[in-house]
Amino acid sequence: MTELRDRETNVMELQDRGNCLAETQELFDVRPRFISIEELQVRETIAVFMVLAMLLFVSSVPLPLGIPPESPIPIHIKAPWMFGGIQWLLLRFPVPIAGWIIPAASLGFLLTLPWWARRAGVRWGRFAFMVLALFWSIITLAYALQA
Amino acid sequence: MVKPVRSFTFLQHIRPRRIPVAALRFGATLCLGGISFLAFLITVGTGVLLLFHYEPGKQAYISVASMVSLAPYGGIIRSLHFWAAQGMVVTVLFHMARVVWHHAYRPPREKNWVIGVFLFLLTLILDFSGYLLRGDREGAGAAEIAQSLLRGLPGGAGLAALFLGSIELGHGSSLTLYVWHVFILPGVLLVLQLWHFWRVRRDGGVRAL
Repeated sequence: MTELRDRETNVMELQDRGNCLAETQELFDVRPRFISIEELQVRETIAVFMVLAMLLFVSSVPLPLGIPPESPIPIHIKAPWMFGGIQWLLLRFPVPIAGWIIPAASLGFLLTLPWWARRAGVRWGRFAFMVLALFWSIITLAYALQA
Repeated sequence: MVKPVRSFTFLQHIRPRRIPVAALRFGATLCLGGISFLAFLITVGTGVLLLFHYEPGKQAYISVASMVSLAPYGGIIRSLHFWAAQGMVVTVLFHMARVVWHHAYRPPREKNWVIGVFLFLLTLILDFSGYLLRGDREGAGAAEIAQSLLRGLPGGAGLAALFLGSIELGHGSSLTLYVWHVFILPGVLLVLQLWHFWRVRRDGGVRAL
């Protein structure tokens, strides 16, 4: 009986200490969990001005005009940079494969990524996405260097 | 109990009154979605100003040249339009990579991932149509490639006519493409973006009150 009472007393003391510790932590933990919409608007305004300043700085460099359509000089047709990868493929593979099958398969993979990742695991999903991103980055860069 | 009007709940989700601090950590999102939306707004704003001088079709190149050299601030507005569009493509790409890296496409965000992929595709098409509308030789060449690619599909001739219109040799710009670039594609993009933001909040990113 005495042992049981001692144990109960010990448990109660430990609980008290635990409660005190939790209360003390609550007292010191004054970090806000939410911010108001007004504070968000201030942050957004600052971000907008920062991005605008950066864009204005970049845009201060004059953007050259392209070659006039009537110009008789033969030119090497360039794709916009984001389609450089497709043009790189078009120069090497049959048009249906380079122009449709590979881009459509990539898009299909992106659309179904959540379902693939659910079946095979999120790490596999991340790995497959990175391989795809690397593939398109490399061929886009290869096209840019070649052009 | 009175049910709130649906449009009101939509606005509440777009602009909630309180936002969890954890959802706003810079490292959590890198602000890439917000920056790409801002780039879209800048592109729309500068695009509206460019409309006052631009002429689609055979006069496209001349109108762009006169806009740059004669219109007040024409050059800088065109530059802003171009760089904001490029910035949008880059930020959308990095935004996608960030979402995959953090596995943020997992349930319940699967639908929003699909919306995001369509947004990415539309951004690319919008950028490509802008490239053709410059009316220069490169644009005309790219238009010819796009036209022959589309014509390779079954029923592709109709598709090419629907999207590119009657593009003549040496001219990438057409009235049809102009309508797609100025009205249809940005309109669809805006609607999808608002749906994307709404879903971010609905799926627990930032909860409305």
